[in-house]
Amino acid sequence: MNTLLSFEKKAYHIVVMDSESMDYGKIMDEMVNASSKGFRKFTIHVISKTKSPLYLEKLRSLIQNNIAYTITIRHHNYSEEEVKKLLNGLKNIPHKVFEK
Amino acid sequence: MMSNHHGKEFLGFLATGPALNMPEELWLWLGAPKPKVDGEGKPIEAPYGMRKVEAKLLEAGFRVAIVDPDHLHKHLDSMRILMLGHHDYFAYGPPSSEWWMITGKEPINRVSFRKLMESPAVKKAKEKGVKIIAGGPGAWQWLWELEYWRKWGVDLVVEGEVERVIVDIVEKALNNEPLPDYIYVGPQDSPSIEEIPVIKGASVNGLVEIMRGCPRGCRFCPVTLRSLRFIPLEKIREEILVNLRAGIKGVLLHSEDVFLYYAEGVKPNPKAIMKLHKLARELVGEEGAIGWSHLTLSTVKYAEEKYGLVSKLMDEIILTDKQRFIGVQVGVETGSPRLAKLIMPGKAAPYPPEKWPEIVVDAFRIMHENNIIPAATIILGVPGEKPEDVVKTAELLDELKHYRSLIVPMFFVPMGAMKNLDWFRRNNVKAEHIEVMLKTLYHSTFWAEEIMSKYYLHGAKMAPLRIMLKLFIRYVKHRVNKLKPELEKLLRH
Repeated sequence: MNTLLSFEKKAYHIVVMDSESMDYGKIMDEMVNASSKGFRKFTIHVISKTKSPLYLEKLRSLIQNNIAYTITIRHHNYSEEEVKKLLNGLKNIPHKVFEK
Repeated sequence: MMSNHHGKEFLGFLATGPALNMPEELWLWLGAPKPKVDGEGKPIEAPYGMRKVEAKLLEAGFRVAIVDPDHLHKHLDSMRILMLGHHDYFAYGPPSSEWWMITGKEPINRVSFRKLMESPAVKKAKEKGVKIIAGGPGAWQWLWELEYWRKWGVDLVVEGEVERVIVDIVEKALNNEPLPDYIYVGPQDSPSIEEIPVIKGASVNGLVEIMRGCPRGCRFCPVTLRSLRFIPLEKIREEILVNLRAGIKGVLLHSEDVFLYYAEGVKPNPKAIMKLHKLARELVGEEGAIGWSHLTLSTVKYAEEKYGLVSKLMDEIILTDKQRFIGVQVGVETGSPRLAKLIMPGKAAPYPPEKWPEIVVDAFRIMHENNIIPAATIILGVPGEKPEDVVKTAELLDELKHYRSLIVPMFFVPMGAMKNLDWFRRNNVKAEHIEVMLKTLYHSTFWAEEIMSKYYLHGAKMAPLRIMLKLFIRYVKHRVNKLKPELEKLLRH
């Protein structure tokens, strides 16, 4: 996680295993929940078979509904190795994983 | 597209429309002529937001330069990151989207941007591994153009104020570290006054920011989401001097409401405003022009009625033998107190929103009497708008017809706290909207000729531009008169 931008190191991280049935409203709920613990910055990691940046279509309304938080969105390829690497890197960082 | 719009920034509105009844090159010359550049293609005047990013990166020790898009090819050998800034990349903002909707033609700002991204210089840069980072006020539009984003290989889109994050982003990009796809910089990461750098090169038409953010909280406006900060006089002085040294003859004071400089809440601080303008006049001299970007109509009324501030400023500082007027953008938005209360409850303050139409008329009168020429906007199709609200706007326009001004209707574009709501579309246009659009057209074309001849474009140097614009206005009038019977039929039904 050395590659994170400085402000992302203070962020709450949300990992999303992207799928057709993923409810992105849950991510907003999680952000509101984390903000009650003092978080104002969020990094959303999307693990998706859909290539970058096309996967952002599903996150558009989440981005549009936000005016309060700093949000960073990162794309990761859909592979077991990539997922392991990401979750390993987030071990000591506050985060939540959404699988579906 | 980079331009100083002949030194008349309001001509920039033409660059948001498609070329109408004339070749694209001529339209661009009218609204956005090519900027003056040095041998390397660096413009003498550059957009202010880009100048801020440039200054931040220069202070951090990077080699950075603003280059006119036509000269990018000169820098292919040294370029590592191509940073894009745009107010309206894809013509989704107001009034581009409205031009597009009415004429059915792609606005020229969108056409020009696409040409740039598909130019050999940008393609070559991408092939060489140059990273592309897009930002600026129009950054949000990329979320609706994901195919172009992919096709052109944009690496990162950043939305919001970037002073606090840009150095970090550029370092990572130069180190070839993975960048996020999208960053929205929230209000808690807005830069402090100390973090906002002084520009190092001249800005378009001498624009200098005097404050950031706005306390009024209008729901359709993105600026109001930012925290309110006042730029100290010392920094303003430095930036005016940067512009004067580059040969710019005046200063354009930029704020969402110039009269709120160091205000307490929404009540103007006359001492601070006088001091700011005295400084500006002292620096630009009697020969130079002082300009304003925006004012709020309630502040105009309050400042004049409570302190006589508008006439004092105009008589004692702004008007000279050389400067005979000042232009400014203002927001009327609606003539309906009900709608005003709903979408912009703070815009009328310190008066109640119920008095909004009266405030607008009083402010227009005050401006007319003091040689202030407003370019005003009206928003049509705001979610929650009812036909009776639009009728009230039409009635207000009747009351404004005696006052020298330009009034432009704009269709609602979801931004600010309303950015999650739906766009106003062509099939939502009702007879009441057409009536308002026609009234604004008659109003603006009536006053435009006088404004151009006596104020805005007077003198021999401006004659070709004035003649072209007059011909264009006559063409628009002619077209509308031809369509009038059909429109009137539509209004009756």
